[in-house]
Amino acid sequence: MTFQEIMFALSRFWAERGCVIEQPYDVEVGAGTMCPSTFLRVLGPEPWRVGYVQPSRRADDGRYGENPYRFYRHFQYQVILKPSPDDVQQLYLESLAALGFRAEEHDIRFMEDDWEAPTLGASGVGWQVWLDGLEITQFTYFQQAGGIELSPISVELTYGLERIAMTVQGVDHFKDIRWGGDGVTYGELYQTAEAEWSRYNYEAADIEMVRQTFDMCEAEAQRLVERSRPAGDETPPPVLTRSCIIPAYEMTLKCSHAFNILDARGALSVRERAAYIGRVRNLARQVARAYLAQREALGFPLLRKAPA
Amino acid sequence: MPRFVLEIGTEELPPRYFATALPYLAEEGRALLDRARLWLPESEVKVYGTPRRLALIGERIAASQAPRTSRKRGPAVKVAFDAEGRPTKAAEGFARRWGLTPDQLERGEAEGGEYVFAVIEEPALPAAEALAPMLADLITGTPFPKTMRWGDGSLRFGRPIRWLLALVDEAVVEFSLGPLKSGRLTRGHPVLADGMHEVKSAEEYEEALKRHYVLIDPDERVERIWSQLNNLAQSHQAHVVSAKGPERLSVSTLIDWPEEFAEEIQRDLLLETAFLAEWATTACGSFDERYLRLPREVLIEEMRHVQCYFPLKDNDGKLMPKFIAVRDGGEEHLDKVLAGWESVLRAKLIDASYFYEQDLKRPLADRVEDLKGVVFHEKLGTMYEKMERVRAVARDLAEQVGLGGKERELLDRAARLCKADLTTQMVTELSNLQGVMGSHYAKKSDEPLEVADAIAEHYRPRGPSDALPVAERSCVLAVADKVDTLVAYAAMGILPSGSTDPFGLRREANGIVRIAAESPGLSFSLERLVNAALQALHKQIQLERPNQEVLNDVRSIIRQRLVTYLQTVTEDRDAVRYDLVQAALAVGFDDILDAATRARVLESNARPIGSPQSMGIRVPMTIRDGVARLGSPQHLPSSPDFVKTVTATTRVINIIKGFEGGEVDEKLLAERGEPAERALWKAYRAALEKAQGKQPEELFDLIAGLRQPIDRFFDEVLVMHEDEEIRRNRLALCWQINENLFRRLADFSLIVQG
Repeated sequence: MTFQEIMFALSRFWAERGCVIEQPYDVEVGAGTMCPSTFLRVLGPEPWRVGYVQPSRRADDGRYGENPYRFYRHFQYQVILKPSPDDVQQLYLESLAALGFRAEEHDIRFMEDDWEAPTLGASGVGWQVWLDGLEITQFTYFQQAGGIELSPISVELTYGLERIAMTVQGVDHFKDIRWGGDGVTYGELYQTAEAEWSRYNYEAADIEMVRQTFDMCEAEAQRLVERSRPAGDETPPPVLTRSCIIPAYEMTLKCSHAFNILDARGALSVRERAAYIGRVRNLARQVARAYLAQREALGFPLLRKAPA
Repeated sequence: MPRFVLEIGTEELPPRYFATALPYLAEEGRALLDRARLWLPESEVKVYGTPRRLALIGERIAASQAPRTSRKRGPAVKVAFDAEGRPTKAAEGFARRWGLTPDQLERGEAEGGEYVFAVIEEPALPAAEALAPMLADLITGTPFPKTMRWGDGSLRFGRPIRWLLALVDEAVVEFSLGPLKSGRLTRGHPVLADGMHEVKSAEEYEEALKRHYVLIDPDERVERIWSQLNNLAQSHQAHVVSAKGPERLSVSTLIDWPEEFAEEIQRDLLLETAFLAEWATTACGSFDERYLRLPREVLIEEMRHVQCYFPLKDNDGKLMPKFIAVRDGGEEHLDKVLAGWESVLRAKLIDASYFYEQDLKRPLADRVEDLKGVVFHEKLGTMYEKMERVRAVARDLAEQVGLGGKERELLDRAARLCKADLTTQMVTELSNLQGVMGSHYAKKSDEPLEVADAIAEHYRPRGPSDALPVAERSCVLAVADKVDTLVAYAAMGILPSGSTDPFGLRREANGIVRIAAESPGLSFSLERLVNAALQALHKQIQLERPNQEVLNDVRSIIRQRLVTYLQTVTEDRDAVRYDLVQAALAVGFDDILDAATRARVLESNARPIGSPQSMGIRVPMTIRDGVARLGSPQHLPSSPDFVKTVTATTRVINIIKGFEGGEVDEKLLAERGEPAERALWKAYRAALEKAQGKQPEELFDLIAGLRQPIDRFFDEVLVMHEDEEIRRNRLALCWQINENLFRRLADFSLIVQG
C-alpha cells in the first residue's frame, strides 16, 4: 500500500460511515485538532462526522530530515465522530482492517494517554493505540474545548500516517516510504523541505519578524472577535451580521504557529513562554464563545440533519 | 446458595485505575448486600477486573430479603381521634398512605406523648428484585483517579461503560443506567472470541468468560504471565528477575512484596501487564548487540517503562540483547507480532542512539547556561536559578558538617552540574533518567568521578526504600536540593495538606529525614539549613511570607515525617513506640540525627530482653496505595528496668510542676540538707560531669544510674518542707536534674508507664 493509498483507504472507509471528507486546512497548524472542523465543530449540540488529512507543523520536532521518525511537518488523518458512537472502538478496529491490519494478526492495545492543549483550553481523555507496540493513533474523548465543557462528547481519532506507512511497507526511514505515482518516495518529495524548515526554525528565522507577526495577528484576532459582540440589545445579533469569527480564529492559529517558532528557537524566557500561551488561549476562548453564540443564533442548523 | 454477579463492561481502563475501583467495589458491595438484607454469616464478596470489565460477586447470599417490620409514626393520638374516639381526617390520611385502614393503626409512646403508628410488614423481595434499584448508584460512585464523559455526556466513569451484566443465579437483575440496560450478556476477548455471549447463570460466570478467553481473576493472569516468563527465559538461558522469585505469584503477594526487592522481581511491570491483558501470551524477541553500548539504564527504560517489555539478563546479571513482551491474545501469528515489537524497539534504540550521540557533542558543563530556559516553577524561576540556590545551600551545609576543602570543591562542581542533564535530548525524552544521564555525561566530559557520582545520587532516595547517597558530599548535595525545593514552595505558601501534595514535598522531606537520620557524622542544625535556603531565595525574589512562618512550616513538615519515619519498621530497623518518639522530639529535633538516635535509645532500653520486634507502621506501598493498608502500632509492655527508671524520673518531674526553676544553693545544702539530699546532689554532679560530650546511649545509662539516689531522696526527704528556703532548694535540685540531664535525652513525662 502506498502512502496515498493509505489516505484513500481511510477517506473511503470513513466516507462510508457517514463522514464528510474535507480537504486539509490551509493555515499552518500543529495538529488536525486545531482546524475549525475539529476545534469549533465539537462545540454545541450539533452532530458532526468528518475525516480529513492534515499536514501538521511542529517547529520543535524538525530534525533536518535525518532522524527516521521525526518531522517538522507530518501528516495526520483526523476523524471526528460527534456524538461518540457506542461502537467507536469496533469502528476504529475495522478502519485498521481496511489498512490491512487484521486484529488477529497483531497485538492492538489501548494505552492510557490523556490529552491537553493549553493554548486551546482543550482537554480530553483516552489512549494512544499501540499496534505491536507502535503508537499509531491518538484516540480521545474530548471533554473541553475553548474552556467550554462539551456535551455531547466528540471522539477524535488521529492516525499517524507516516508510522502506519512505515509499518505497512516495512521501511526503517520515512524517506523510503513509497508515496505513489511511479515509485516516488516521501523523501524525494519532502526531505529537502524538512532540512530547510529545520534550518529556518532553528537558525534562520528572523525572530523579530516572528514576534511582530504574533503581535499583529493577536491584535487583528482581538479586533475581529470584538466585532461580533453585541452593543446593547442589538437585533439581529452581530454574530449574524458583522461577525468575522473564522478569520479571527485563523489569526489565532497564526499566533499559535508564531509562538511555536519562537519556542523552538529558545527565544522565549520562562515567564514569557507562559504569557504567550495565555495570550493564545485567551483568543481561542473568545473565538469559541463567539462561534457557539453564532451557531445558536442560526438555530444550530446541523441538528436538523441528525437521524431521528 | 444464591450467587450474585455484577459485571461493568468498559472500554480499556488504565491499570492504575484498579487501585481505587477494586477496593471500593469490595467494600461498597458488601455494604450494599447488607443494606439489601441479603447478607448472611456465610456470605462473601469477591472483586475482579480486566482492562475491559470490573466484576463484583456476592457468594452465598440470601435468596430473598430477611423479613422486617417497621413502625412509622403518625399524628398524636389526640389529633388522630376525635372526642368520640372516631378517626379524624389526619388518621385516615396517614393510614391510607401506608395502605392500611384506621383501625389497623397501633398506639404507642414517643417523645413523651402518645402517637398512632402504622406497623408495616416490609415485603421480603427476591434477591434480584431487592438489588435492582441499588446497582446504578453503586456503579456511578466508583472512584477513579480521573473520570470522563462520552456519547450524550450524561454518565461519568473511568472509561465509557458499554454493557452491564447482572445476575442472581439464573435471574437477570434488571436495572438501567442512563441509556444502558442490564442483561445476561458478556463480551468475550475482542480478538479471540469477539462479540457478546450469553451467561446462563451466575454460577458459570468465570467459566463462561474463560471459554471466551477472558481470565477475569487478576491472580490467574499474574500466575500465567509469571510462569510463561520464567519458562521462556529459561529456554533462552536468561533471567527475567535477578532474585529467585517464588513458585507462585498473585496480585496480593506482589503488592505485599518488600519495596526494596520490587525492582528485582519486576513487580510494577508484572502488575501492569496483568492489568493490560485479558488473555496474556508472551514471546521472546531480540535486538542488535551494538545497542548494548548505550547506558544500561537507557536500555532498561526503553524496554520496561516505554514499551512494557521485560529486559533479560544473563547469569552474571548483565543485560542481554533480548526481551520478553506480553500480548493480549493467543499464539496465532505471534511471529508477526514479535517482528513488530522488535521493529518498534529498534526504532526507539535508533532514536536513543541519536540522542546519545547528539548529547555527547557538548560537554555537560556547557549546558548549565541552557538551564535559564527550563522552568522550575512559574513563580520560582528557572532551573538555573534553582541550581544557584542549591549551590549556596550546599556551601553552607558543607561548612556545618565540616566538609574538607577539596571535598567542598567537588561538591560545588557537582552542585553546578547536577541539573544540566535536564537540557539533554535523552532526559527530555526519558525524564526518569535525570541524574543518571547527568552522571554518565559528566564522566564522558572528564569530570571527576566523585562529581559524576554526586550528580547521580542527589535525587536519592526516590522512595521510602530507595538507597541513600553514599558519599558525604552526595548527601550534602541531596539535602541541599531537597531543602531548597521544600523551602521555596513553603515560601510561596504551597504546602502538603491531607491527601494533596502535588509537588511531592512530603517525599522531599522524607528524603531529608532519612539522609540525616541514617548518615552517621551528618549532624547539622535544621534551622540554620532552612535559613541558608531562605537567604538564597531572598537574593532572587521578593518573598511575601515572613521567614519565621516559613521556618515553622518546614519544621512542622520535617517533624511529621520524622515521627512517621521513626515509627516505621524496615528490614534493618525496629519501630520506635509512639510515646517514646514524642518524648524524644519534645526536647528538640533541630539536629535530626541526634533526635532519631535519642528516640532509638529509648526504644532499645524500653524493649524487654528477648521480645519480638515491636509492631509499627508498615511501609505503605508506593503503587496500589488504595489496597495496601497501614498496620496499627501495637503497645508492648516495657522492660521492668525501664519502667523503674521512668518511674524515678517521673517523681522528679511531678514534684517540680509549677516551679519556675533556679540554682541549688550549695551552702544551704551543706548546712541544712539531709543525707539523702546531699547524696542525690553528689550523684547528679558526678553524672553531669560524665555526661559531657556523651552519646545518647551513655546518657540513658547515667540517668538510669540515678534511680537509686532519687528513690532514696523521695523516700527519706520531705521536699515540700515548711521552710521556704529549704523547700526551694530541694525543688531546684529536682529541676536541675530534669533540665540538665533528663531533658538532654527526652521529656520523660511523656512516656507512658507500664
